[in-house]
Amino acid sequence: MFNIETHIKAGSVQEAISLLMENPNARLIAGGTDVLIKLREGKPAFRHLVDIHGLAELNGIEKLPDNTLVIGSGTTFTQAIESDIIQTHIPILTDAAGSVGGPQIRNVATIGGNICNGVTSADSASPLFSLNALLSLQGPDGTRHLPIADFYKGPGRVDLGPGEILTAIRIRPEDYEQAFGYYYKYAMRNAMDIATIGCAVCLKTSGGTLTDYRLAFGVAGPVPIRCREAEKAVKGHPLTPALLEKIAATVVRDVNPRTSWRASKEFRLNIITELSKRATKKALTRAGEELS
Amino acid sequence: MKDFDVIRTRAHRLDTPDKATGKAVYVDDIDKPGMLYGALLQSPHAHANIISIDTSKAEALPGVKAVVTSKEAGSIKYGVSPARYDETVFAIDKVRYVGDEIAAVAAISLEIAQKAVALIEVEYEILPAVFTIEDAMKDGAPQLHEDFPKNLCAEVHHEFGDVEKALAESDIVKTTTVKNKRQDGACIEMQGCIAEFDRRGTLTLVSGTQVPHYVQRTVAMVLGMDIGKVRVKKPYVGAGFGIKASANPMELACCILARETNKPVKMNYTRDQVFKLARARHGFTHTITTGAKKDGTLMALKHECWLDGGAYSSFGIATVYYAGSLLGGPYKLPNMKYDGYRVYNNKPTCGAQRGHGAVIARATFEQQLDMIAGDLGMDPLELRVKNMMEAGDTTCNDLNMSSFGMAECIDAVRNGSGWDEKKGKMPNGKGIGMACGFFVSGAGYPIYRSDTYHGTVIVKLTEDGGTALVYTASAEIGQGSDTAFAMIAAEALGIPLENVRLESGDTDMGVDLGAYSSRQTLMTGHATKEAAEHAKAQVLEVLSGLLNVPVEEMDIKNGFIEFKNETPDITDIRTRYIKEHRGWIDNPDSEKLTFKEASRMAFLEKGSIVGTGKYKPHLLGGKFKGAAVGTSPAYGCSAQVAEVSVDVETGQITIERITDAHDCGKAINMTSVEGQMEGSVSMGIGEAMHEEVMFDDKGNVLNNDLAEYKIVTSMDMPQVDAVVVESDEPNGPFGAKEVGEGAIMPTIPAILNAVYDAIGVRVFELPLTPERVYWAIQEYQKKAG
Repeated sequence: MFNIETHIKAGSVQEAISLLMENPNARLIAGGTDVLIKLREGKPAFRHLVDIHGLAELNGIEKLPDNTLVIGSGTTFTQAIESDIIQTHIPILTDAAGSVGGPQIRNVATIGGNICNGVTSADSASPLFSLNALLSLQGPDGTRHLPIADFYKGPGRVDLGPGEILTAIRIRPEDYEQAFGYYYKYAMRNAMDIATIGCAVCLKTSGGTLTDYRLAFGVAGPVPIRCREAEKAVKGHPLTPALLEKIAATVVRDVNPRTSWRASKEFRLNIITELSKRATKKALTRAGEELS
Repeated sequence: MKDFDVIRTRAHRLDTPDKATGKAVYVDDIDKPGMLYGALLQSPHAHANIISIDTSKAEALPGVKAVVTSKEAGSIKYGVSPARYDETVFAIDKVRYVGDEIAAVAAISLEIAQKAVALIEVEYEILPAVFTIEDAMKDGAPQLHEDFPKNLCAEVHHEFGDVEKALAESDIVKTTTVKNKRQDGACIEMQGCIAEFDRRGTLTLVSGTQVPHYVQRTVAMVLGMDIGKVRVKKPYVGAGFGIKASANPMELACCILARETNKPVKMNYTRDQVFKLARARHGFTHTITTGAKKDGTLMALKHECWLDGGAYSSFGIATVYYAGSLLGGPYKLPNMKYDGYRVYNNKPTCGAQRGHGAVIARATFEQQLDMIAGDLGMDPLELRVKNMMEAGDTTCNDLNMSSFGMAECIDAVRNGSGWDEKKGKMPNGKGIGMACGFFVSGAGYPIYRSDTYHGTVIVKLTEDGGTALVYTASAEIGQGSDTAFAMIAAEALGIPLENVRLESGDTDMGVDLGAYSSRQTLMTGHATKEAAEHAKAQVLEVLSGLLNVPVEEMDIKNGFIEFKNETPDITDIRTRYIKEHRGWIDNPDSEKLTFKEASRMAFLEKGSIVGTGKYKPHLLGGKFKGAAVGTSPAYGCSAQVAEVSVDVETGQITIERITDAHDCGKAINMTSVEGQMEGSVSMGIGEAMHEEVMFDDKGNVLNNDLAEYKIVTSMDMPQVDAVVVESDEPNGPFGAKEVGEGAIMPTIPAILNAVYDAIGVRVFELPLTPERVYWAIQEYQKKAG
């Protein structure tokens, strides 16, 4: 049973912002794949809905003249998978989008919803962390751009002010050009599953060394995280097998997984170290590099 | 080889057009004028006395039409085995698990009904609860049922031969303990029902059930009605797997609400309620000791089993017997001892699920066979071939294998998987394993003690002569039984399948015990065949008189009358038939006399041609207590080979391929047989790899949805090579027997044996979650240094 009291379809982002300002209890719904589950569980926080599903302003993937990539927050995972721009420039996001739920979910679930839901297991979050993505947040007072790493405040809590809507995700050229990434999702089955651990790597190489390295995890803590210690430890490291061991050894200092009935902390730590190596290796392969 | 025209083909299923277009009607698709919606109040506590129930606020809510508790429902006990009826529709003085039913509400909308449920005030006295076998058996442990001290619901002690002597004479003896976890049936359709009384007091219950017959009996008993005044019908059902094989409390509550309101009432379980009702696979702990000679000859099996039963008995008495008796085969095993115990506790009730009682026993034993083969330096496949039973053999516990294509099954998976090229030659991390199994083709006895027929079927020919109508009370629940019986009727009558229509799943159509214990193909199939043959005999008898040809010199084939000797002149019959149908466009012009013409003549002479058929098994089994459980007129058998890869760093197992051979006797519908085999593999993989109902320390199910309770998706399915082996079962209709449950038997042990082959680690606890496998590997590596 869905206990929806009000459901208003917004005709534009501006209207959605006004509707949110008028009713501070209202929440946004786009694809609905998270919101409807919460409604079914009887969560009263979602009784009032402002519907931004299908808003043209929020849809679309483009490459700006300065090569910045802009992904509308209303982009569905299926659109992301099918996008030539994403496929060509940031295939790590194709990996991630393809790993979400099943076809029916990917057809309606949006990237923006995935981020704003605020959960640590969001498949698009850790790749966007590794891409230093900027979030365009439009509110009653205009638009601000926030690094995704600053957006997550805690489990289910994100930095959205009153009336603010995530409209787009921007990836700057310096963060993706000549960079190679990989998203490794470790889950209990091959579809319809949330990540036990999700690992995203984005890296650049030059002359046999690692010149840029960005490592992010989902489910390695209460929110998605970047692994600054591990990154620092291996920047400039020669492309030798020791590189992977160094990453595995330092990444444990960055993460804070917990024990739940789904998996123990110790097991998650093992998966984290293993995935950090595997995802890095895969990204290096995409970069045309081999460890020797 | 017998010559068949309809069976053994890949006929399209009767339900394909409905299901492919989304038009198939399930319970929740049905609405009745004036229908009310029902909701249940279920206990939030695992164990508590009920001090008082106040329904006044719920009754006062506008839109509420009835609130019922044990006051209206009464105190008649019901359950599955009459000897162990231990449930009432609503709790009377105490609740025994989180979900125990206390009251129900009917209202003009589901929302109001649910609001009313929340307004019912129950005062509880919380009692200490027990959730494990160990805790439930402790001295001074809280008791669930007064009559069952130590919470021991049932125990079984069997010995055949002399096990201790045989073990002493064995060259090699292995003992292992294997534990699984409680399963959920995870039927895609959750249970639902609509109950309605007509103006003459007849109750019709439309329910998503596997067993209209048992539900009818239970409803009649609990409501104190004549069986003839209770009609149970099932529309399309989205699977059962055993979970829907008995009356559930919601069906009974729904009938009571319909009685109290005199309106149709609809009720549905939510997924959470499905987990609460459960009635799925028990948690088993098997300790098995097997003895063998140096040459691999099996000597004895000693077996102890503990069942985590939950709050009530359900099928549990049968389960604890099956867990022991179905290790009697498929190997020649002269000595077998079994001690089985089922224990009550404050969790949802376990019951019967695909491969009733036998799946984990099989997983334990088949692993042990591999361990013995390993110690003896024998190919595990050869060990099985050496000990395999053959057609005509009887187990030490009196189960007779009237047909048994086990050797063919083993051959098929050996060749199909490339066993000889792969076994012992796989790289580290990759493995191959095999296992065998067998299962009943229908329980030899009904659940209640009775001489009843297990199935009756009516075949009626339409007055025009062209179509045969089959009426059966059997339950099509997605497995394809309707199609199988239409095919059997067509084959037996000698007409094409498109000339058969079939109605099923309605207690007004006859007796049929329903879709459980893999019984319908053999049992309903027999009754269908007999009914069709009866109708056919009547047609031929009339024809014999008209043509002056003895009945035994005529036959019907593909819709035409065949004459053994010379063909008589059919002009008179044809002229008469055409005159009868003046103005119609389909006048026969074939050289041969058609079934339609003959059948029309029979109608003109005798009125409606109605054939009736019935079936019950011949006397089966031994004389000892519990000998009935495990008996069957026939047994299906199977062998499987699993190929796996194990990721030792993450504990993840990938099932690469399953080669599966099953002896189902003569296959009625080849495609449906393969469908059951593949479905069994999918369920077996789920159980081996993922499925585990988890509880918190208060008895609440933690993973009460299909996101967290993980059944396999199509993306997790390996390549399955299904090989249908067809023996000719003397006790089966056209030689047919089961495939629905036997096919799951080898899957889990084949995977376990393949995992051992891949990494040298035996995991004795299911499911094989990556974490469990990872720690097992870690421990193994630590030991190995």
